[in-house]
Amino acid sequence: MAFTISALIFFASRLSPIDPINAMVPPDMASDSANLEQLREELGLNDHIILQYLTWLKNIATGEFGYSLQSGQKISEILALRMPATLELVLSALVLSTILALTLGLFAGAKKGGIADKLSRILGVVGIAIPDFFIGLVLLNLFAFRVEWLPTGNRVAPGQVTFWDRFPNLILPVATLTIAMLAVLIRYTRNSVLDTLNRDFVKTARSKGVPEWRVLYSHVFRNSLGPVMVLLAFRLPLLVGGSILVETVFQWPGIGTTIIAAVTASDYPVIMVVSMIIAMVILVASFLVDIIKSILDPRVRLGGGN
Amino acid sequence: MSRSTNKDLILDLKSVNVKFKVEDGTLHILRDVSLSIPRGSFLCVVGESGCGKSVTAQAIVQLLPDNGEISSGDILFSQGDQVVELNKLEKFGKQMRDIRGAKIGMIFQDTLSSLNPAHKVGRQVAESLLQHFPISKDEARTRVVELFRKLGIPDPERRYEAYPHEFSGGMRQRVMIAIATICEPDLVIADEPTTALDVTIQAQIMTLLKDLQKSAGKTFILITHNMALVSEVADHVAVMYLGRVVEYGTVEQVLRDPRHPYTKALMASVPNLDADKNVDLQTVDGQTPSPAEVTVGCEFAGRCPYVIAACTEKTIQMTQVSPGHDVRCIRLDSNGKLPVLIGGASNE
Ligand SMILES: Nc1ncnc2c1ncn2[C@@H]1O[C@H](COP(=O)(O)OP(=O)(O)OP(=O)(O)O)[C@@H](O)[C@H]1O
Ligand code: SF4
Ligand SMILES: [Mg+2]
Repeated sequence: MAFTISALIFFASRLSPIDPINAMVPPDMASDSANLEQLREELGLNDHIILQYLTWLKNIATGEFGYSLQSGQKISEILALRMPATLELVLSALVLSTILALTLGLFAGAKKGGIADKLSRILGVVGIAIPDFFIGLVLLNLFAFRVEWLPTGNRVAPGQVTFWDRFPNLILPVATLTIAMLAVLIRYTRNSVLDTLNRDFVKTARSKGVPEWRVLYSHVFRNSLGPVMVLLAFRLPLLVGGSILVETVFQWPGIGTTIIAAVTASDYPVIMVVSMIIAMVILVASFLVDIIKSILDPRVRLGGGN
Repeated sequence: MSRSTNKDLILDLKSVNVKFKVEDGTLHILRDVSLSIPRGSFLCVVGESGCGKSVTAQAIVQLLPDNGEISSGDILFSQGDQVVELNKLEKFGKQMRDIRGAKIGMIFQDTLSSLNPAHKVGRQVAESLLQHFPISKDEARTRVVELFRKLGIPDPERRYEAYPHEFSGGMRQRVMIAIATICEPDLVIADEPTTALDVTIQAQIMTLLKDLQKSAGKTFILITHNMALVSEVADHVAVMYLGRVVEYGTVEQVLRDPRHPYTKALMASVPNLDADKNVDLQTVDGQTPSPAEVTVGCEFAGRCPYVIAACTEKTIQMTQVSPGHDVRCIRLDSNGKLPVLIGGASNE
C-alpha cells in the first residue's frame, strides 16, 4: 500500500510539465546551459527514472528527505519546524469534533426533533454547504476584526511560550476545522444511533427495566460507534486537506502553508515528501480505526473469545 | 391506582386499542382486545401472522415501537394486593421500569438478534438482577451461573464470559429465557421463543418454560404458531384475528370445542393434535385483510362460510357461550352453537 502510494506520488510529480530545475534557478542563470546541466547531474535528474524513484524511496525510508529546491533548506528541518503546528491544529480539531459529534449525535438520535437534533441539523447544513475557508473567513471577520476577542491567527507571537499562551491563537483555526468536520460526523452519528435504537437488543435492554440513560450509554452508543469510526477514517484526508486551506486563511505556519508555498514554486522534493507524509498519516489512521473497531466489536476481535 | 378487580387475575386487558402512525395515516392494529389472565395460568395466544400478537405483548409492557400508542383501554396488573394500571404509567418512568424485568419478564420475537453483540452474555443477564436487587456483582454472577446451569447451558462459568456470536441459536434462546426469568417475575411473556429453532431444541425449551411455570407458580403468556404445543402446555387459549380476540377459553373449550368459525377452520386444518409434535398453525382459505382497510362489522366476514348480511352491519360483541368461554360471532344460537351449513362443506 505504502509502495503504491509512493510510486503514484513520485511518477505523478514527474508528469508535471515544469522542469523542476527551472523553478530554482534565477532567469539570468537559465541561459547558462552548461551550468544547468551540471546542476541536473548533481541533483540526479539525469538518471533513469526508475533509479531516481528507488533512490528517492531509499532516502525517504532512511529519513533523508533531501533539500528544498526553493530555499535550499533541509526538508527534515522544515518538517521539524512546521509539523508540530499542523499536528496541534489537526489533532485538536479531530479530538474536539469527535467528542462534540459523538455527544451531539447521541442526543440528537436519542431525541429526534429535540434541541440537539435541531442544533445538529443547523451545523450539518452550515458545515456541508459552506466551504471550510469561508467559515474561517467569517469567523475571522466576526471574532478577530469586529469584536477583537481573538487573534487573527499566527501560531506564536514573541513571548508566547507555553501552550496556554498560544491557546487563543488556536481557537479560530480549530473552530473552523471542527465545524467542517462536525457537519457530516454529527449526522452520521445521529443516524447510526437511530439505527441502533431500532435493533432488537435495545428492546431487550428496556425490558429489563434499565433506565433510558443506561440503555443509551451502555447499549446504544457503543454499538453505534463502529460505523462512525469508519467514517472518521474516510474523513481524515478531508481534515488534512481542510487544514491546508485553514492554515492559509489563518497564516498558520504548518505543513499546509508549506505545501502551498512548495506547489506555487514547483518545489517538488518538498511536495513529494509532504504528500508521502500525509498519505502515511492516513494509512496509520485507518489502521488505528481497525484497532478501535476490534475493541468495540467482539466479533472482529483478533482471536476473540475462544 | 387501586381498583376493584378480581384478585385472582394477574393481568386484565380491558378493551385495549393500539394505533400506529404511518406515512399515509393511522393503522388501528389492536381493536378492543380484552384478556383476563388468572394468576398461575399458562395462556397461549394464537392467530395468523400480522393479527397483532406481538403488538399485544409489547403493549402490555409499554414497549411498542415509537410510532405506536395505546389509544384507549386499560391494562391492569396485580402486584400483591395492588392493582396497577400499566397503561397510565410513564413509559420509561421508574414505576414502569420497576415492573419490567422484575415483575414481568419478556422474551421478544426474533431472539437471535435480541442480545447485545458487544456485551458478554453473563453480564446481559446480570444487568437485570443488578437493576432490581441490591446485590453485589459477584452475587449476581453466582445466580446467573446457577440459572445457566438450570437452563442446560453447558460449562456455565466459562459461558458467562462468552459473547452472543459464540452461542448457537438454542443457547441464545436460553440466555433470553435467563434474562426474562432471572428476577423471578410473576408473569413471563414469551413471543414465539422457539420458531427459529429445530424441533428437538424447541421441545427442550418448552419443557423448560413449563417446568418454570409449574414449579414456581408463575404465569406465562406464550405466543405461538404451533398448535400441538398449545394443546401440550396451555391451560388457556386466546385466538386472535386481525387485531381482535375472537375466541377465548380454556384449552378444552377452545381446542376441543371451538365455536368461532375462524377457530373451527384453524382446528380443521390441524389433523391430529396429539400425533404430530410439530404442527404449525395452517393457513385458512382466503386472504388476510389488511389492517389498513376500514371494515365494518366482523373482520372475518370476507372468509367466513357462515357470513350473513348482519355480520357486516356493526361491530360484533363478545358473547359468553359457557362460563369462561367467550366467542365473537353473531351466528351462535342460544346454546352457543353455529348453525349447520346447508350444502357447503361444514367444518364439523
Ligand atoms: N411499528 C409499526 N408500524 C406500523 N405497523 C406495525 C408496526 N408494528 C407492527 N405493525 C403492524 O401490526 C400488525 C400486527 O403485527 P404483529 O407483529 O403484532 O403481528 P403478529 O401477530 O405478531 O404476527 P407474527 O405471527 O408474524 O409475529 C401487522 O399488520 C403489522 O404490520
Ligand atoms: S360474525 Fe358472521 S362473519 Fe363473523 S365469524 Fe360470525 S358468522 Fe362469520
Ligand atoms: Mg409476532
